[in-house]
Amino acid sequence: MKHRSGSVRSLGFLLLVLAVTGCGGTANHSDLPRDRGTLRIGLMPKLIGIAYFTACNRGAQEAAAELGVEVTYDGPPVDKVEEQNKIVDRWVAQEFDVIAVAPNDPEVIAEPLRLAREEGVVTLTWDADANPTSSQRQLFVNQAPIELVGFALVDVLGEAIGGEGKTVIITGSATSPNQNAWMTAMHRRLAHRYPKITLLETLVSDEDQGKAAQLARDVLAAHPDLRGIWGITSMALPGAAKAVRDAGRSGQVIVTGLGLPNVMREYVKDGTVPRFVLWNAEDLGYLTVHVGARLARGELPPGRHDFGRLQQIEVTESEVILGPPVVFDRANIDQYDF
Amino acid sequence: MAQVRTITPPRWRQWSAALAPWLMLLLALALLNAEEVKPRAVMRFWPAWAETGTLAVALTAIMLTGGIDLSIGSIMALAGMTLGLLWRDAHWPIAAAAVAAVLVGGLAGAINGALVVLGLPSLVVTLATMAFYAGLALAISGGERISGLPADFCELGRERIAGVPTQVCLLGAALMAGWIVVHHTRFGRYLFAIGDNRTAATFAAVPVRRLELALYLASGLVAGLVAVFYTARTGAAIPTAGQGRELEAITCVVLGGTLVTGGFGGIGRTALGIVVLAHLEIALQFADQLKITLPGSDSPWQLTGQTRLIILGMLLIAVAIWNQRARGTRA
Repeated sequence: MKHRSGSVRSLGFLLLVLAVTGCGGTANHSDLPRDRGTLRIGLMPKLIGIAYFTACNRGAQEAAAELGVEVTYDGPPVDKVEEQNKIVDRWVAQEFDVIAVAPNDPEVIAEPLRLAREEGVVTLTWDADANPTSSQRQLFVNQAPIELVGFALVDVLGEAIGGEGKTVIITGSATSPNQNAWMTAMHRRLAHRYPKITLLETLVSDEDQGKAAQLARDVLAAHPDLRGIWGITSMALPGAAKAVRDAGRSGQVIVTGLGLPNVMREYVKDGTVPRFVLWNAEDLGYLTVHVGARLARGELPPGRHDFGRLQQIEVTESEVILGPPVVFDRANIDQYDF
Repeated sequence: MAQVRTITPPRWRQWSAALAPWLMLLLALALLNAEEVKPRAVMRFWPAWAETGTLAVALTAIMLTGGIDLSIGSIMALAGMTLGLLWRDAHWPIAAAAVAAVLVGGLAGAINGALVVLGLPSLVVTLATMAFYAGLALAISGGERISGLPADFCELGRERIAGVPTQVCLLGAALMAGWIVVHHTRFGRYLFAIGDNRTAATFAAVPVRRLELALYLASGLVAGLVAVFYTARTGAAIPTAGQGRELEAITCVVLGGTLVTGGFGGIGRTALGIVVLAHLEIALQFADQLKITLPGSDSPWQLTGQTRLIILGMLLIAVAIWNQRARGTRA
């Protein structure tokens, strides 16, 4: 008897809990469009809570409003690769129509993406690519062709120092495929266009702003006639810029590279970094959502297509290319907020 | 060990303690049902939880003696990186690298065991080696992931045997072995004896030291084995792998009703704990769009990664206290 009454009481408690959570849930589910007519797109950054990806999401939500689709933006709060896999699995279970991932690792993400496609989900990568063969992803939304980024980096500095002088590159990690590909393009451009620019060495900053600043200080001390520094990651660039400014050699040593407008604004305004290179993050998110919606509703053959406000975007067999990189300078930097 | 006071607690407390995991399982299933999650989708999250569960089986034996092993997650990372580095840099065949990974896990466990046998508290020892092994995994790999492992090796972590993921098979085997060892051998009876009263067990000629060494060694071997399956599943050796796994495994054991102070519990309880925690966590993941507006608050309260951790942490504490009280044992 005692047994019975205990279970009954517990059952009552359970029902109460269910009633509370259930009510809370349904009340709020109703304000999300859940009918199957609305396309549901999952947009996953490498990690959430950083300005660059938040800007991508702003563009994505703009596209979502235009197209009348629902874009869920979610990702790992820390750089933990397995979290991305879990979210992909969850989105498949929640019957998303499109899943677009900026993978932290090209191989680790491959298996869940492949399974997602098997379930009939449209799979995209953006910002960074997954292994195209093992992931079977449909398209990679590429922010800027590697080649053009490398060329722009060289041209920005080459023009500023009149095509001659000693320079160094500060990179993030020795094994990053992106950074190594950019540097290959830079070497080619230097050899063709600026034979009088000497590249002294390539320094590895371990994706650490403090270390990049230290490396730049050492180089500045060792070479009084140094003319330019490339910091080709968003950590290396502000580190190098700070070192040059602190040494009082702004303008004499030109710093440039890849960086975020909000971080680099002060250095652009004081002349340490007259110009630097990146792409428009909002446009990248905007384009990714447009491509996802287009693929979910039909075909996207190779060629040039218009996606909302972005005209004549190049689509190849495996990539969509946002376009040439953006060069930020004193005139345009205030238009960007990321 | 502190003085132990035993009183018979009210029956309802015992009942509620036994019922609590089942209620949580019901709650989890109800949540999954409310979110319209298909069973097939839920099963996709099983392999990861089966890995944690396998760790929890070895941990149960340790916790029965009143000990703990906090380093299992870090051992996973160390073993996984050993596998990756031997394969990529030393050009070992992947199978040999996998065996070496398990052995490295065993070695790490043996070091834990040796330090515990020296008389240091297991909490202190494994807290230290948790940091040490994790740091070692980062150091030997330079913090870089090693991906592109051979496809047929990856199958090991992705295959199904008669529709059951390999990790779940591994968990099944571990539960079976654990159940036999803990509940049907003299070794198993000794575990309970040590957990009840370590000093008394020593005087009763229980080979406490040898037993403890064996326990931590086994825990390390299991962590190494789990690391192999984990690495195969993700297709990459990841230096930060296993972070937080030790807490999940401990929660599984405690949720099942094994006492943190040792002497009471078992493998069957841990099996229940694994099933409950796994489905609760899976259900909470899907409840990401569940918003609850508390009265008097404007902003809705929403489940995120962090709140999930808070919920699981509170759960662990609540259940641990409740179980202890239900047994009438207070350390």
